[in-house]
Amino acid sequence: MRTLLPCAALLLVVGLTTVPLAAQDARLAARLPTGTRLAVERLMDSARAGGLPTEPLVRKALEGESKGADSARIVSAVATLARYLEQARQALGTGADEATLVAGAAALRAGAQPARLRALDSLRSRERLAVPLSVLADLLTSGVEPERAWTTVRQMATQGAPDADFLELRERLTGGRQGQAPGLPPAAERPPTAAPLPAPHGPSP
Amino acid sequence: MRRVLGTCALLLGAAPPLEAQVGGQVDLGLGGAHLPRRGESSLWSLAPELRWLTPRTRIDVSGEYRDFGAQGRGATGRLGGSWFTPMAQPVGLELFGEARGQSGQGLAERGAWEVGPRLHVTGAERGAWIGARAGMDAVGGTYGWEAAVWRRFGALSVQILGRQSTQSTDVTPRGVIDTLAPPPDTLSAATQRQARVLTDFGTWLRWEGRRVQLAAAGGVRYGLVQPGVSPRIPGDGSGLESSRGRSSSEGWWQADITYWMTDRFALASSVGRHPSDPSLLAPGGRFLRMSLRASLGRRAPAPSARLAAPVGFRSERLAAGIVEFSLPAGKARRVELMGDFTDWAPVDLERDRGGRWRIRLPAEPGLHRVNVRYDGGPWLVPPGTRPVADEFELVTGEVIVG
Repeated sequence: MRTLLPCAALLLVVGLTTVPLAAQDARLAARLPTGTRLAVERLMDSARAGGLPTEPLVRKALEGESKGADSARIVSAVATLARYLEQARQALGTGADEATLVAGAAALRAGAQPARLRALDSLRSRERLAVPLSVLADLLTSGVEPERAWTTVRQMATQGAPDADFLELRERLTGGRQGQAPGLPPAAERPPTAAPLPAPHGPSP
Repeated sequence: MRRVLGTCALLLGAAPPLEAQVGGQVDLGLGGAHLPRRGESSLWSLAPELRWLTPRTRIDVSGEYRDFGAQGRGATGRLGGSWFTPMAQPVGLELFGEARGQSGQGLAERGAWEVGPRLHVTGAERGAWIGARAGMDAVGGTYGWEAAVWRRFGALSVQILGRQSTQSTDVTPRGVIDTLAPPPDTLSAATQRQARVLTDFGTWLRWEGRRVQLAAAGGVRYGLVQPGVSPRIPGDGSGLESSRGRSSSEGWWQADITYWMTDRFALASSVGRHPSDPSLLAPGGRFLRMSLRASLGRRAPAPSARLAAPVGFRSERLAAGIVEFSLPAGKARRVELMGDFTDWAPVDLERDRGGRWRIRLPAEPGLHRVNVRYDGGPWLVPPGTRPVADEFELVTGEVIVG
């Protein structure tokens, strides 16, 4: 017993000093190099301290790893996402859930103004904000005029439209019509084609 | 002409790339036509069309066989392709090419082709482009320009286009020739240089409803011959002739209505007047046609029903927190998917009886990113998702789960 107590105390001390206060994410530990993982975990600690969800940051780091990005690019991407999440939280309040904050961050990154996130938040309950914010972000990313995108989304939110209506709006405004790939301009039209008959005087020799 | 047909056959017979969206239709039509100095004639026609779309390319192959009974019969074919590359949002560059040809009873085989770039300024609802073209037709080399604007108002789309082609040839200035028809290609010692300028202006309106599609178009084709050769309007002579007798014009229009009885079959009606086509030595004329249209694969539905269409990548919420993702994958033997909802780890999809590949995963409502891989190849943007540049210098598909 005399020998076990010092050992237990030593293990406790070692554990407290070597393991960061933030619980290590097993996925990061398994897939990221140590240096990258530590840098990401520092960002996660800051986010957690600020009341932000850390799962989106973990996934961003894993995305970078799966795509073969180097450490600097992964850390930069995670830091950028953390900044947008923080801005989204400031706009949407502390009650916003993870999906809403992720969508809000995407909308901000696409160019939405924080005040409009706040306005949308006041029009719909927070449980139903993720899809409208995602659609707003998508419309802005796809080149819809910001004012038109915002006006349309706001009107639908005011009318209490369900999420399916927002998704349909996205389809309607961003293409996908028959014979048209999303994002591509329409094909050049042509006059109706002539009948394949000999000309009245016959073809040229 | 044979090369064009050969290329079409090659494309039709080849397996489509996995990320491509392939669509098409076949029209079997009955109707009538009024051709200048030939009078009325009944006709039946068979017109297949195949479209091939990827996020960067668009290929259209179409043809039409028309049988005018005793008046004759013939076929036209067209192969068009475009490759798009973004430059700086919203500006993009398109490189396009088009080949057309015709062949028929009593009709010389003729072909024409042109290639060129188009510079697009593209938004989601409106856009514009300018372009240049160069090519060859039945008479000789041509070059020209074009400009267009387009806009969508919900289900209605509008395109206004102007284009001009110029062709310089050596001709013998004898007698009267058609402005809109090519000059004789028999040369003599007394030939002179002649420029034929063809200018088109047109407006196209299209509206797509759940079952009904409407289209209307109209325009005018101006012909100008320089120098010193009197022009004459081909076709029914309805065009205008200037006081100097050097220019002419020819109006054209077309109206279409299509009613989709099912996802695959439709009745289509088309009426109008097509202009003469000097590049293929074809005269103008009026036409009326009723067609039975068969879609190759299920028709892409109107916007209100499109979300449920099994075209491209699809996400469908099955229960709280569980979403089924599915996509077509051609002849792939293995399909993997990774996204933020898989922690960016590859997961295998399973092929169903209908040929789509599916997987059920937990995913929250909102914006998600996803990539797909076929047979262990490179990670690609799933068809039908919005391609976006990610933070790692790659392209990812964005999908919104409802």
